Amino acid sequence: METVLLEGNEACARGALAAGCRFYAGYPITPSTEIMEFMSRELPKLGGMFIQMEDEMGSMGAVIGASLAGVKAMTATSGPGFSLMQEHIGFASMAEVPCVIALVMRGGPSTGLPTQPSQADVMQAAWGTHGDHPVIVLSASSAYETFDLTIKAFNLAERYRTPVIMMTDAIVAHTREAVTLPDADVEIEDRPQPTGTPEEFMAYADPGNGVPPMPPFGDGYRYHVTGLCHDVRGFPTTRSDEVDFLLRRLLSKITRDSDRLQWFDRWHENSETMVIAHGCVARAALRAVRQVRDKGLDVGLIKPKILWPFMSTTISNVLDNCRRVLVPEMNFGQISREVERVNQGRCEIVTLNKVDGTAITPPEIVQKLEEMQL
Amino acid sequence: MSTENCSQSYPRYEIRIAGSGGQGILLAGIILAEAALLDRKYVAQTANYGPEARGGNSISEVVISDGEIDYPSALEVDLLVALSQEACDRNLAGVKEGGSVIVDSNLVPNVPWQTAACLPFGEIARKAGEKRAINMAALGAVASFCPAVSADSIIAVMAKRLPAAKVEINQQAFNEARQAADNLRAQSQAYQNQSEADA
Repeated sequence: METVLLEGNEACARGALAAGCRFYAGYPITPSTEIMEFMSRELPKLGGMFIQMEDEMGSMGAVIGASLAGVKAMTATSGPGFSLMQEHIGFASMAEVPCVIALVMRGGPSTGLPTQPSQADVMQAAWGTHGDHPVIVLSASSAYETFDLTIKAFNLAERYRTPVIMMTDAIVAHTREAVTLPDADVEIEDRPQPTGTPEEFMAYADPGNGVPPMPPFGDGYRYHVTGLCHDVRGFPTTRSDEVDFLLRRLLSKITRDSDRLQWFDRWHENSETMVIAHGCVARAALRAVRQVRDKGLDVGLIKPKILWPFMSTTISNVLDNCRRVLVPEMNFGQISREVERVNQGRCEIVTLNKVDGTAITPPEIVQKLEEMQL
Repeated sequence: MSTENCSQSYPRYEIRIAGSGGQGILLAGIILAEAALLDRKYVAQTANYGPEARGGNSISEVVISDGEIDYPSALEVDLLVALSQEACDRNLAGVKEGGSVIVDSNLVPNVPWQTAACLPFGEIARKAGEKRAINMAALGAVASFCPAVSADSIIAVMAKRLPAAKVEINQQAFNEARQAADNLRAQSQAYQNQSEADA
């Protein structure tokens, strides 16, 4: 095992290569650009393909095309670029094209604060594209976690045939830390393949688990791909029974697996006061929790690594066992609203919101936790 | 899913290198962090800079510890290196009581800190044959002041990270500055001993 100093962005790119990503299309944007730089350098060495596109819309289109041809594909971006990608992310959801979008959050709205961190795109990651659609969003708080979760992001994209958002922020992306790279090949999942003949192939029929097989284009299995509501052959339809079947299958292929998608780290999860924090804020929260525990306060921490679908089961269990919860966030309260939705009045929910382009620090969380005990 | 025991936070040594964009502030931090990793320490290196490619404020922080680092940015700076007056003015407040301050004596004329080490890093770099080696010269002083990372490791990482043609010149600037810093510390120690003896 080799231990190297990597920044979050480099760890993301390395994780992608380890997961089998062989196509990258993107448009550079701070603070995500190092992912693109790394891919431009390393992908060709592995026989992969790298394209700098004319913009983020084109990038997402190229990623979808590569994935339809059977290649694991990704792009990376930040706030303004992520906004531009939304239309094609919806297309990838609808046409069920596996792909990974690394989203490195910076201050917004608009061009906002290019070099500074934020967590204000949590809701956009889920609902940036229109229509009811399935969504998977992962959140990393360190370079190692970025490496690990990027591999998992590709696996989830392939398993469920859906776009997966791999989310970090300007701090995690640019923090260099030791990452121990695995010697052996990591566990990799690939999209399901058809077992029948091309003649009998139904591209969007439900094989039972909600995820239809996906042969690469050009392999003889001919089918139609569209953003319109489609029947099991992939052709546009407005028949209400076919539309209803499609939309319910799209959503349920992920929600039926929600018990498998409760990924989090926990410290003292049975404490009277719990902190729920993700990304760079979880780092400050961990230090703050340690400091107030040294002072005798009964405080624990839950760090979600998967933000969407929201881990309602896990959070509900936490809320059953504590009296109050602090949700520190670098936005006006996006995860805290989800926590309140699950809470249904059981516990006191306290928020700590910072939107000035600087990180939430351990002393700020300590102060809030001490105020909460009064 | 994982559960971790909540042990106490480990003691940290925090270094902040500050200057203006283009001085190689980030690279200095990265080399320092890789050297700490080579010394088998836990390390986190973070950066803060503006949208400009040149000029503007640039900060690189390195936190070194014997144990896991929870919060990766500096909280109470043990050692500040400032390579511009503005960098010094903006960052002095973050230095903890008893912390060390190192500045370029030509670029930072005013240092309102009792025991600052003022050394001509730019001049040392120029004499070594490459004025851009100012960042590596500053690292020489860091190696002298900072007990958490070894000079040998910094030199080894410089050889790996810098363009081959420039390694020797940079290492020379590093060594010159380190020697100058060692001398300064020896003088200051002698002065302090003398003061105590006089008292």
